[in-house]
Amino acid sequence: MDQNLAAYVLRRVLQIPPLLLGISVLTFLIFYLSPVDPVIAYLGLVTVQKMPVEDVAKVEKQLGLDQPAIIRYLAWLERILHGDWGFSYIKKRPVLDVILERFPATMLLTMTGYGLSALLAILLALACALRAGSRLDAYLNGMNYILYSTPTFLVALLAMLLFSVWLGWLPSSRMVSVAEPAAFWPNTWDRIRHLILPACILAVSHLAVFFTYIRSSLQESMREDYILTARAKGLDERRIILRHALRNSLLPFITQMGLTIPLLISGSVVVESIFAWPGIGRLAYDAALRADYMLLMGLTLFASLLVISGNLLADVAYALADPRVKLG
Amino acid sequence: MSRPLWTLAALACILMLAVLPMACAEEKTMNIALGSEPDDLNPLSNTGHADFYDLIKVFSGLLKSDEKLEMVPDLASSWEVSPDAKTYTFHLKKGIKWQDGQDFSAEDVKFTYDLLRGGKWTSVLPVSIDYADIADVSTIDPSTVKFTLKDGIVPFQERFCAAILPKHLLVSQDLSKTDFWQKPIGTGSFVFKDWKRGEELVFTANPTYYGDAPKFDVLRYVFVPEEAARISLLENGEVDAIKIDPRSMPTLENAKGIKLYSMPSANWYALNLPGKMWPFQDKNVRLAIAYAINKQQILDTIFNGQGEIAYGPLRSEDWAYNPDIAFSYDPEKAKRLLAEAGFKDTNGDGVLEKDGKDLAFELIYPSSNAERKDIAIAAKTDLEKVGIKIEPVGKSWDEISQELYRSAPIVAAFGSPFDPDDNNYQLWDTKFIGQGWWNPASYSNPKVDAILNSARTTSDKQQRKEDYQELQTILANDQPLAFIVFCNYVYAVSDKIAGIELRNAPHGQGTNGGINGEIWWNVEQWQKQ
Repeated sequence: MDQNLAAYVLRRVLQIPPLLLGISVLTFLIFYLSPVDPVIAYLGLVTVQKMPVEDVAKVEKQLGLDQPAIIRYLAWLERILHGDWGFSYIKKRPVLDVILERFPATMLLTMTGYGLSALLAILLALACALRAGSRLDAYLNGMNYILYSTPTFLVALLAMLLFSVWLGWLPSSRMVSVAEPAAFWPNTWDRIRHLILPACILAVSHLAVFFTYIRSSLQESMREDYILTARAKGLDERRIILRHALRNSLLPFITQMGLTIPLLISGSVVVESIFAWPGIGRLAYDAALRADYMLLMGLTLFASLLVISGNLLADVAYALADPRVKLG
Repeated sequence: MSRPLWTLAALACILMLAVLPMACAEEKTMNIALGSEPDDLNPLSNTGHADFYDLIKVFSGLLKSDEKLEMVPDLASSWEVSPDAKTYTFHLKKGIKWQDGQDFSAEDVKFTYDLLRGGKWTSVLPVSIDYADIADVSTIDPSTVKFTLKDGIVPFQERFCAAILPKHLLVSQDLSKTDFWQKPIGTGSFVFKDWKRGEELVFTANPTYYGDAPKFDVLRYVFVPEEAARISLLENGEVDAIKIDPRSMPTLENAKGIKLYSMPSANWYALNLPGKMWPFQDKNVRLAIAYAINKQQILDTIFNGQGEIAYGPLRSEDWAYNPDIAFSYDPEKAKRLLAEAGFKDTNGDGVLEKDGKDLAFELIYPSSNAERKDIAIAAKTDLEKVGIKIEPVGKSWDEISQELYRSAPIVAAFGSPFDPDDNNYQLWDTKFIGQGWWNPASYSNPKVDAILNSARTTSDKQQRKEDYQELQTILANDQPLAFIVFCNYVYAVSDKIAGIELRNAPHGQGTNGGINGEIWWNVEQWQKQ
């Protein structure tokens, strides 16, 4: 079994490089074909306004924009392999530095949000399963649709108005208060307070998807033969759901969590922008608005890496958790 | 845990959240919340003439502009200009040190201006066009530096505000890759301390500063894109100053401890009507559009009345402003002008035609500028009433190429509070047609070319004033762009802050964004009471 698993993991890991290569070609093509003028993106509008035409050509040359696409792609790929992810037009710093310094903030926010979301989804799905067909079940389902169709930015703004502006219970933005860094405990507490609102919004924004998934998976499990067997044995319904049905329906949920890893970045764009959270989502938003090719390409590649490793982890975790899965 | 215990725990949590002491801004700290973050701290990347990079108090120039926008000595103690305005000699203050302890000298000045006029680092110092008029920079002794210009251009003086860079740190560096722009060292009133990307930028007072010492120790800019969040930070005392949308004024008017400032700006909005596009070659069409737009209504609704109606490119604060060019909103006159131009609604669809072509066009606005979008929508309603059909179309700045900018109607904005030569020379002179973003209307008028040239080469201020007044009269009669309004920039500031000076601000990022040319231009003189 262990040897089997190791071979499986190795095979999966070996699949990553060609996959990444394909992604890199696509990434490059998307940005190459976009209508954006990178000189303006690099220097800013006001600056280009003041430049003579010859200078613009000079800058184009400096940036290598006069080279054919294939040369630019190969040069880019070679640098990536050497750990040089390019130079961000807008941040005027190495792309990898820019991404890595923003990554921890996003991890903190999204992991907390995801954890909360998964926990809430499981609890609510359980409540529905325990009282299937009841008013509560119908009510939660209805709420789910409303939640699913409400845009995150609206929820976020309303929550900010209610909890920060009107009630003044929670900070409106940022990771910490605007002040000199305090001692460890007050500082940690300050950070937790700042995390609550954005993490809850993020949790709520993913709740609908997670809840629907677990609930239907739970309902499916409830129709399985072993549940019938358990009922026939005369087991308590609570015990059936918690011990047998839930455990089995959580397995596919692991895969689902792995698949939603891209949302780690994309899902936090809105929340990070509204709550001034210094994460990767806000960075991606800025990079897209201002057409920072290098940074966008780096972010796409970084996100691809995350997705691939997330899927790998989820599959391995699934294999570990469910002995019935045959690796092959 | 039993149920009561749970409840108790939950209550305790809520209490802790609510009761935890709010971080209060300390007295020795000035905190400002900005809607956007600078890309780097290169003081010259956005610098044109007497423009400046307010945020970066790390640097200083030979001269600086004061609250009346006049040039006063900064690193220089005095300067002389030759009668033909071709030679400038600057005497530097003695004993000035760079923030790393090295001595500042005339060599640094020569190094900086040679970089600027050399045009080698255009991606980093994209201001070379402004300094190409310098023929030579020479150091006479460590505290005297002489500039020789190719032509005697009077407003050139404003270009001596450029931040001076340390030669000893930059001379051997690749300027496009150096991290100097991320953690700069200068001669200014504040020293760079820390920059947490996406979060905040922190400076501390420079203990060896040669000028008046700042009245506080720490200057901190925090980056908060959402206005509601900025307002909340101001209300609970975490920050001392923010910029707000003029339309948010009513919500803060009676707020305790907060004072609102409405600062004039030379930034004007106008519809660019490119001369090379049918039917804008016809002056009557352009005038008709100018008369048909209800500027007062736009000023009142979009800018909450904070600003001034524009008929030409200079605001009433400007010394060369011509008050006689005003005209009133007159849709009937607009209709007459269009009839004179040969437009008639022959098929009865409410849209005028000429030679079988509808008087209809798309009006482009940059979608990231809320106020420009609103202007486009207001113009649509106003122009419909006189039989012109327009369709507002939002595009991102990256889609609005220079070519599109000069060949399609667009909601444009320009404006400089400094010498009237700044912006106007580049916007209306024939030789700037097709030069980047300048002269987008492709306006060409030999009379105007002559006036602009005469005004920049004579040092007689009265003569220059007359020249610029005549320019305004011609432009108001021609409306190469249909001028609409000058905006104000509105700020909400803690009422404990003293030392705020309002002055006519340059064209920036509009009423919502902006980090440069803002009310904090003299933040080092602010004081908390």
